[in-house]
Amino acid sequence: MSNYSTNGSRKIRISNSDDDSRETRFSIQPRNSHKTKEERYRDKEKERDHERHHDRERRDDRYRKVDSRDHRDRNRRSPAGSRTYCRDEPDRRRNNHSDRNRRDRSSERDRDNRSSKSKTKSPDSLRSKSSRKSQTPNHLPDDGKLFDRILDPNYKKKEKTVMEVEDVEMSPVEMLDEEEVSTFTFDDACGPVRPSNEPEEKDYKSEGDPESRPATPKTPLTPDYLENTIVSLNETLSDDEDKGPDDKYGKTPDKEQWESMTENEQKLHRDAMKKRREQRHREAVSKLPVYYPGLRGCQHISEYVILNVIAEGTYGEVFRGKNTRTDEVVALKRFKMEKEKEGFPITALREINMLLKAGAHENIVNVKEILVGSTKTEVYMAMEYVEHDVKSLIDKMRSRNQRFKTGQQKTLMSQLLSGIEHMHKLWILHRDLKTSNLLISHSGILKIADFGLAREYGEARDIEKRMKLTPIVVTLWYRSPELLLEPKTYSTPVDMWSIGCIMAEFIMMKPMFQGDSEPNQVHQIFQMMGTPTEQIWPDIKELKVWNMVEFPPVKPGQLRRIFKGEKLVNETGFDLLNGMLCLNPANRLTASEALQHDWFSEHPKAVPPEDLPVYPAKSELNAAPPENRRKNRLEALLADEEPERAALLRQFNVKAEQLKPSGFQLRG
Amino acid sequence: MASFVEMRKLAEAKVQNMIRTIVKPKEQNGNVEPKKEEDEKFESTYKQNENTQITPSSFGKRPLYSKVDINCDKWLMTLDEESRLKIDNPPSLVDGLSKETESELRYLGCELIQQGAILLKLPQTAAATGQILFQRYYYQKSFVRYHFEHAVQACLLLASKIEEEPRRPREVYNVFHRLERLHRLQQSGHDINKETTRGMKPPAVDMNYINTKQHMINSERRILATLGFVVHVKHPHRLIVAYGHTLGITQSRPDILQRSWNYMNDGLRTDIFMRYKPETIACACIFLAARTVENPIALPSTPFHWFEAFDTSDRDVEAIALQLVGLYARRTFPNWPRIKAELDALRSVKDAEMKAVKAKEIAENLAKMAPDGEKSTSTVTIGKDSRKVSPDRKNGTKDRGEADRGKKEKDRHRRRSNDRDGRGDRRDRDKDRGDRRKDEKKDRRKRTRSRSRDRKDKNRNRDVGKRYRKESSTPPRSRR
Repeated sequence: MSNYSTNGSRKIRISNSDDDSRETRFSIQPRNSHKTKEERYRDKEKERDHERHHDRERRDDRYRKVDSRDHRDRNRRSPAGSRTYCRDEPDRRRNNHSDRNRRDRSSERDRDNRSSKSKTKSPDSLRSKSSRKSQTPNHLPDDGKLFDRILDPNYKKKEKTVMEVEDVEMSPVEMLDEEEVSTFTFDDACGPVRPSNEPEEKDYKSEGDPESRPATPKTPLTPDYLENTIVSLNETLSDDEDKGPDDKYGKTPDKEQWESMTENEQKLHRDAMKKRREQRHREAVSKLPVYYPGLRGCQHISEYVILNVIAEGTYGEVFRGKNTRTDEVVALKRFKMEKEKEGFPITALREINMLLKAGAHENIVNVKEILVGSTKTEVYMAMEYVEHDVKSLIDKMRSRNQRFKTGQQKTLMSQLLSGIEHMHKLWILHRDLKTSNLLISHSGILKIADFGLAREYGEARDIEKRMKLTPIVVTLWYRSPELLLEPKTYSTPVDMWSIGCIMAEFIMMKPMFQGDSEPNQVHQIFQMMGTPTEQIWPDIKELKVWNMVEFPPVKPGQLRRIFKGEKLVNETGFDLLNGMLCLNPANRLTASEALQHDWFSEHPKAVPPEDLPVYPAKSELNAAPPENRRKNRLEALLADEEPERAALLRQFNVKAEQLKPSGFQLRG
Repeated sequence: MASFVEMRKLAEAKVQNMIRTIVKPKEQNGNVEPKKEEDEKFESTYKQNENTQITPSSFGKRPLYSKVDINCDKWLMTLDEESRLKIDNPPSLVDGLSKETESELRYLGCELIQQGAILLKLPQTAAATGQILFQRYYYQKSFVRYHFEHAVQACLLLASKIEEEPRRPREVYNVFHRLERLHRLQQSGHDINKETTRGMKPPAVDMNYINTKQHMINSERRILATLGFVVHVKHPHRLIVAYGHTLGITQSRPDILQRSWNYMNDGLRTDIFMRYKPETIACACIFLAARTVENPIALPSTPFHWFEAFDTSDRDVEAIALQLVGLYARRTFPNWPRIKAELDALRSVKDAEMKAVKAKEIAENLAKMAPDGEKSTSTVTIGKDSRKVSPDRKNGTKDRGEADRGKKEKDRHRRRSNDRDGRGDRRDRDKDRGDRRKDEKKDRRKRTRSRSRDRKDKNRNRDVGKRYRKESSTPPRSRR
């Protein structure tokens, strides 16, 4: 027991340090916030006329969090808050500075602001800021959940409805695609039904506009929102269609009726019958039980058939595979198990844990399953198959002298930032963001892949000390300056710098910093961004390389000259890029801040994902021809031979030409 | 005679062109056979109801499940009805183990993991993770068939990796060895102090270590596959502090937090972590601690209990509290040697049954072989022909791809045979000491085989070519 008590006491001490900050946060919130939340909750209930979907719930959650943040800011600015909690002062100053930055965008004023920043800030305040930032996301979702449950008396009933919706949505994506196609053909086929649909469509549009206005006054049209509208449109169309055919085509006609019908009517009946079959299939599948690998173990790899190899490398092999029961195409990644001295490799285990923990997000590659071979030394990870990676896409567009339009840039950046925001909220660092690790599907959905270097980072200083994160991470071209100068610890700003480089690559169609070695990389960064000073970046003293090497002083402004001089971006876009490529990691934008930037709400707005350029995937080009062709060839060759010989040749699967005379002779 | 000559010509042509087609379907069939039984079991239960409505896939199969949910928090055993039944009837009982001994084994395993984590200087979260993995594993597998000593070491190794504090198998082995000795000292009636433990030294790197390490690594892989690689555990440690803060206990009553913390750590030896969410367990620990501390306090219970704000029901809280209280009714530590003897007895019974079954199968095969002598000879000849087939290097990439797949399948066969031999060896070792020397020789042979496996693909190609050349030399001899 003594051992337990010592461990417990140590951990309690760690928790005590957290309690102080937590007290301040909880006490800052006034009681009135409950009422306001109740009112908003009721308003949102009224707005929800249509069925609820996961995407809408996600959107609502985001906006709730935004509202709660506004409340906190207001509370902090109040005089009572300033008197009792002096720790909040640096946050205020920072907020004011950021506001000024956004308002005044001239270079001279930027310099003045930077100098003013350096005067006011001290290293202690910077550390406290970073620690507070890392702590905030942990509490928000819990509070949100608690309030939702308390305010909602019918929580249990709604939970059931949510489950039902989940089952429906889990049907394979291909089925949905077929639905869309079939609905359009149905519209084209049946002419007389069109006039009845038109007014209802208009009604939906008129209804949709007021919904979008209060919910998203400033935020851009994110792909989530667009998909919601598409899904709802399909639903309304399908509802309209169902009413008509229910009367006429709801039942399968008899033979006599069938013969008397015209061809058009027969087609309509066939379409209706197909839909009914598909619906029955989906309902029957949804009634089947759910398979939990955590309870029943891994399935065998024989559940999938391997079609072809997508990629090979030091990290392992990736195949394209097909599920034998659902015809779903997935990417099968095989883990290398050559070094078995230490047991299962920790890198593979870490990657699996990070991906399972990241869970289901639209812009992150989802893990479907983990499969085992005949011997348990073979382990495969089944992920959703995404056709392209962004690097090859950019290369092809560059070879054709094409560029991303501003709307396309916004679509890509918003998807990337929402994925990274999701990861950072779950305390996961990616640490290897680059264009070759970003996948993009035919429908234009961007997905973050390759969690081989992903890591869970700590929330308190003690934990950070214990977990020593290696500085040699991230590909060289996308490595942040603090990583290149060997820090002791680092955090989410590392990923934000990589995203800044990726944004620049979307704009210029080539990587911005292409260093061939670490010193060269640092040199290029300082040439572009200006050499940092202790005024701009006070913590730079603690970096190893900074104290060892003297860098020639370079004035900032090259970045602006390149982007603004050649008119690659407007002022707002440059502001976002500059915010993500800020040299001081403490001042760099976070993922949530970047998502709320004005650039995404300006004109031209983000393009729907389907409008992004699409090319045939590499794996599809290299696909092997089907086996039927080989059989046909063999049979064609065998047609000329005698039937007896043909049978023998088939049995051994040998061509006639391959026969050779043997020198062997039997002696009587 | 003419047809026979043609057969020979075709066989020679096939050999010369190095096309392998017969070998693959056999291997594929062999691979698929064990899975068919399982598939049939699943399909039989669902085909009756949904067979007609579900459209089969292009491979002619129907889905058995609506989806595969591999989220990192989908491992509680109350999600599935079958798993819920396993908690009350773990698979060890089917093999003849009594329920009391089974619970003793669980307690012993968890205790060893906790002590091992302390000696390895792992954080408490790693100890908790290891114990939970151990419990989950033995609700899916039997203690009789899978040695718990290997699982304990494997869980420690795995937990250290999961919690980002990796330890080496050598260190885990040393710690386990020391714990074993300490327990023997205690059982023999000695006290544990500096004098009695002065003679203990880390074990040398000998055959015992090498065998144990291999068992540890194999057990680790088996655990990962059995738990579906869903091994991330969310612990109630942080929740206890958070809930304590909302209740206002953190500063005024730190003793309650400490006691609830202790309850949670001790609760890892029970099955509450298999049944309830971490939020529920945290509430129950605080509830119990508030009542059993020196100066108990009454937490708010009107109009609703305080824990209902955290989505916890009073039934669950009471059930967990009862289990935790029952944990302290135990007064004696499990008797490791006695339990081990009981397990060995059950294993010997199992081995005897297996041998009897094998003997019957052999007798049946012999009976079948006698009347069908001619057919058996013909099959043997076909087998010989198939062996001569070797990969074709001259053909294009398509054939190479096929050859690669064939190689993998061959490797699988070898590994299977090796695994079977390994199992037999383990059983033999437990029985006779005299056979240890023979076992050592076998182990050496295995190592050479395993080393040969690790060679690169180039070496494999060369080896295959060599075999082909050797085999190709036999026909002219027979001709002569």
